[in-house]
Amino acid sequence: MILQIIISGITMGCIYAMVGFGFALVFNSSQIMNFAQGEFLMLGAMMHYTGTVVLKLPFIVSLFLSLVTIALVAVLIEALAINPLRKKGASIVMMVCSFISFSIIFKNLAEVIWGKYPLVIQGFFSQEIFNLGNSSIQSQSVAVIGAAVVSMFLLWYFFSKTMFGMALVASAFNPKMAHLCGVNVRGMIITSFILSGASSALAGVVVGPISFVSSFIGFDLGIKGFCAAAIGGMGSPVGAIIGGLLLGLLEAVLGVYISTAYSTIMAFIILLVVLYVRPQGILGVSSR
Amino acid sequence: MLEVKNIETAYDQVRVLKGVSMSVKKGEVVTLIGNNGAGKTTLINAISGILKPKAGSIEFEGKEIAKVAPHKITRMGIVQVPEGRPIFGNYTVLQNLRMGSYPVYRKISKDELKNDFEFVYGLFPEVKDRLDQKAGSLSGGQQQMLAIGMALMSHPILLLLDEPSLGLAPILVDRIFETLEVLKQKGLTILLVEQNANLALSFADRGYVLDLGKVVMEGDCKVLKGSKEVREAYLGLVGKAC
Ligand SMILES: Nc1ncnc2c1ncn2[C@@H]1O[C@H](COP(=O)(O)OP(=O)(O)OP(=O)(O)O)[C@@H](O)[C@H]1O
Ligand SMILES: [Mg+2]
Repeated sequence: MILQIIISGITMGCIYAMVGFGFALVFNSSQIMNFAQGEFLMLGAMMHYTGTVVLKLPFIVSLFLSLVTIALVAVLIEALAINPLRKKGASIVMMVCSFISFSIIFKNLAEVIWGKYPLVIQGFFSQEIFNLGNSSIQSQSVAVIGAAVVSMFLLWYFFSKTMFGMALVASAFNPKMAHLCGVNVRGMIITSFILSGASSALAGVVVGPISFVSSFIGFDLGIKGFCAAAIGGMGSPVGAIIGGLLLGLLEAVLGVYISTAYSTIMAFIILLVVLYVRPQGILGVSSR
Repeated sequence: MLEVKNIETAYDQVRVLKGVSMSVKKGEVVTLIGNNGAGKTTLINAISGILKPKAGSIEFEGKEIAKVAPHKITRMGIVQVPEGRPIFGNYTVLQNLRMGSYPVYRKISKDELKNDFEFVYGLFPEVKDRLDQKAGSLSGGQQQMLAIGMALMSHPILLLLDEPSLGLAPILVDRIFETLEVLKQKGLTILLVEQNANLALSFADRGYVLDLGKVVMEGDCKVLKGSKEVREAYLGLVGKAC
């Protein structure tokens, strides 16, 4: 029982972490909270539905197409919602408004394209349950945790072992110095959007079989991802992972002892508690 | 090598540079002196492409660069060490040096890269001793050395230095300028911005005096140092030339 609670907590925690990670990436590179992040997840899941159920593509092909499409959507958002505003000297608040507008457009567009009713997408494994000795775990939990671990590992490698990743973080720290080091800062911002779009789409594909897929899931999971990023300290990718896992675990435990109906309220109470104790978030820097 | 013609810049509506022309020839060390707010930083930021001039032209080795993106200008070989603490404080010293090599690391061989590191370590042993330390925790002088080291890793053809002596103890200023002397002897072309006019005029070959966004004097450093106006306004000396 306790093992199952922990595993389901970690599973949802991984999803929040992946979305939160997207928040942190975009926030890092452009100091903006991308409230369309959750819609990237929703669109990723929807695309995967179209790929596997409608077009009957193999799982991997459909997954790949979904990631690429959402990465392109993210690039488009940067080009349409952010860059023109930045050039005209718009404030951060206006850019956040622009993101929110896009998130609403996406949600409603998805409703028009895919309908209002929840859709079912297949999981990565054909078997639904794995038996481990005398307890059993949902196979999709394994897929979620696996996807999170693999994507986190790839991102960790990219950021800490490659010059390109290092330059990306450097342009977030100090854009002027990055320019002077020959870094194409705009290119780095676009790269952040690509990575945040793809990682959220992946989260959507793996969470789909657990939560069902509808145009509504983006809002809820996006808000949880935002909480994860804020708990971890906005702009710290590792913080977002910790925040996501913490959120998932607490939610699972409290869900059992209180009620799952309060899960969103719970997420924000947890966020508020963390912010009272440590205003900059768990791994955040207090001032830049 | 560098030819700046009549450039004008403005922040919002406030004009800062009001038609500045200057040039740097290959192998030359040129200094730009002037009081606070004269527009020195603005001028070298325009050369680096960080700030786009409203009018005028900037040519580097025969190519017009006034509208070129800053990262491309760095890759062309115009490398700036900006004023203040121009390092990535959250990165270690070694990571900062790697960032310095960013414009060239794909173009050069492993051996060349290693030589670049050795060259910087030779100039600044104090940097080599702290490779794994966060750059933000270095002293001001060490940060300035690291910043110059990073610029050297970028293979500069023209090195732009913005007030490398700012806020440093005299002994560290001497240390920085000894190193710059080594680079000068190696034939590196340098444009040095300084408020410490005495130091700058002793080091450079030629100089420009900037005041309120205009070049008010230019010439050989020895001549500038001897001129009455410069002595009174910038060297804090009143009286006869020596
Ligand atoms: N980002 C900015 N926005 C508005 N005005 C600016 C900005 N940067 C500089 N200025 C103004 O432009 C003028 C020239 O500034 P600049 O930094 O080029 O001077 P400087 O010669 O480098 O001075 P210092 O010796 O103090 O570094 C100043 O009057 C300054 O107030
Ligand atoms: Mg200045």
